[in-house]
Parts: sequence; C-alpha cells; structure tokens
Amino acid sequence: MEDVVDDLDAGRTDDHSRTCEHCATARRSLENLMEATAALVADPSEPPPTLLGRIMQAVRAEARRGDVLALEGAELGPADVSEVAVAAVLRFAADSVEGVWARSCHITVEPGSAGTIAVAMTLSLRYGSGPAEGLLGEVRGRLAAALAGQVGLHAHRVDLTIVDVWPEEEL
Amino acid sequence: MVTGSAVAEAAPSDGGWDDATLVGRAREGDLRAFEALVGRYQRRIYQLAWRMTGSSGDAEDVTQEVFLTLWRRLPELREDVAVVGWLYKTATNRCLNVLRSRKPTAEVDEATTPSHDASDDPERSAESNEQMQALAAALGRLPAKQRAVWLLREIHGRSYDEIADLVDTTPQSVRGRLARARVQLAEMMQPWR
Repeated sequence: MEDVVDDLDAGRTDDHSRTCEHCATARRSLENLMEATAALVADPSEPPPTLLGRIMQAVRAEARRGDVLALEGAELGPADVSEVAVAAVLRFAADSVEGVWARSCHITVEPGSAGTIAVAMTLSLRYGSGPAEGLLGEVRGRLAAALAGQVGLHAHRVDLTIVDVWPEEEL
Repeated sequence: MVTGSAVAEAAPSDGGWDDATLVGRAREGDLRAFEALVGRYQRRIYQLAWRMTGSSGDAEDVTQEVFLTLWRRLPELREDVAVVGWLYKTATNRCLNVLRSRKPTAEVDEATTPSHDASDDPERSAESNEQMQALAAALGRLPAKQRAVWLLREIHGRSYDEIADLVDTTPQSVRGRLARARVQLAEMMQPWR
C-alpha cells in the first residue's frame, strides 16, 4: 500500500496499478482517507463559547498589578499609579496614530524626582503610512498629551524604536 | 497526501495585530492583547486536544492549561519565539501526558465527534460526517505519538521539522510515522473491516 501512497502523492498511475485489484482497493481506501481528512480540516466545530471567558478569568486572577509610580504634588498623601496602567495608556495613545502599533512600553522612574519618568517604547509601522520621522513626531506628541492629561506624569525622556515594518495586505 | 489548507484562521476580531506585538504587550500585562491571542488560537488548540484525547472535557482542560501556562511563561519567552509553535508543542505534550495518565482500561470514547452546524446540503453533510466519524474512530486506535504526528501534519499543517521537535525525534522519523499512520488509517477505515 505504501507504493500506492507514493503514486497517489505523485499523481502517478501505471499499467499494474490500473489493472491490479489489490492496488485498486488500496487506492480507493486511501482516497477515502483523503476525503475524510479534508472533511476534518474543514470541521467547523468550535470550542465551547464559555472557554475563552474561563481562560481569561484564570489569567486575571494571576495578573500582577505591577510596580507603582509616585505621582508629583500629591499633598494629601502619596497617590500611586501602576506602571502597567501607565504603559497601557501610552500604548493606547501611540496606537491612535494611523499606521502605528505600540509593541512594548517600559517605564522607569528617575530616582528622587517624583512625577518624572523615562519611556522606552517599541513600535511597528505599516509600510506606506508616511515618513517615519513624521509618524514618530506624532507619537511623541500623543504620548506627552496622554501623560499630562490622563496620568499626571511628565516624561523627561522618550525613546522610540521601530522594530517592525509590515505591508498592509499581510494582515 | 492532503495539500488543502490547514485549520482555518480565526476570524480577525482581534484587531489584526501580529503575534509578536500581542505577545510583547501581553508580557507587559496587557490583558486585552492576551485575550486576542487566546481568541486567535484557542480553536486550533482545542481541536487538536479533542482529536488527541477523544474527550471534550479533557480538551477543554488542556486548552485552559496551555494558555494559563503561556501567561505564566510570557516573561521568559524569547522575543522572537513563534507563539503558535510554542502553543502546539505545549498542547501536544499535555495531551500525551493526559493519555499516559489514563488507566489502560479507560479507553477513549472513539465514537465521540464534535457536534457541528448542518451545512447547506444535508445529504453531503451527513456523508462527510460519517466519513469523519470513521476517521475519528480510526484515529483513536493509533498509538498516541503516531496520532499526534498525523494530526499536526494533516490537520494543522505543521512542518516536518517542527513536528520532529514537538515529539522529540528526527524529521526522517516523522515522515516514517506519518506514512505508517496513513496506511493504518486507510486500512481501518475500510467499510468491510
């Protein structure tokens, strides 16, 4: 039967396989398997609709809050904001520039200067979205606005690194 | 043998972000990015686990464990690692562990097949269901590793090199196992047997 597999794979037939009853039987059963395999590949069955929620529930239970950043001018006591939350705000701000995706965002606090942070962000750009310089300038503007307006922090340094450029049709 | 497409991609309800971006963001605690990853791959992992274990309950457990493990391992996952390959590897190992831990008498319910929507053509749908059921039953009778090799190649379209890595063997041996699996499946599916 393995010879028949090879012949089927290669689309070959010869006089023997056309006339031999055993080969014909083997060929039929392999074709049957191929059809069933195609049906299995196309199987539309989905996992239970509750599965995603259960997975995310377990993940949320483990998600750490992350380190906290001290805010400037908190006279009524220290107000903290989590690094994770700030990074999420900044990624969201960068995403709002057309053709830009934030990939990672690291935040570091300058020792002794509450309210001042350094941001290191990596970005993916969509090819053809315009000159990178202009896009990066726009990202900087949105990051500064988001920090001042939504978080109450100031970035003394923003490092942007382009780590990927992707063609539009790929996704 | 089968050159058709592998299991269809998930619907692009995840913003269309590339895996590396989603992994990078999830690594930093972005739960929405992680949820998008789960949404993108849970179906493939669940289907592999179901066909491997023959049990929807085990398939759910395996899928949940695989993604929870991914979440825990994100900090140590290398930046350039292909997350889909990692998921397949972890899922395959989990399934093999589940099968090993079963009592020898607790056989897979081979008749179990996924419930699915009736297609537009009920007659054709019934026919392919029958074929699929025969195939699912035959799969349940293959040795576990051989079943894994066949599913990863024929249903999920993974490469020989990747499968060799997954089941800890050589690409040459994967080809051999795959050829044997095809022959055995074809023979087991013959209606007169």
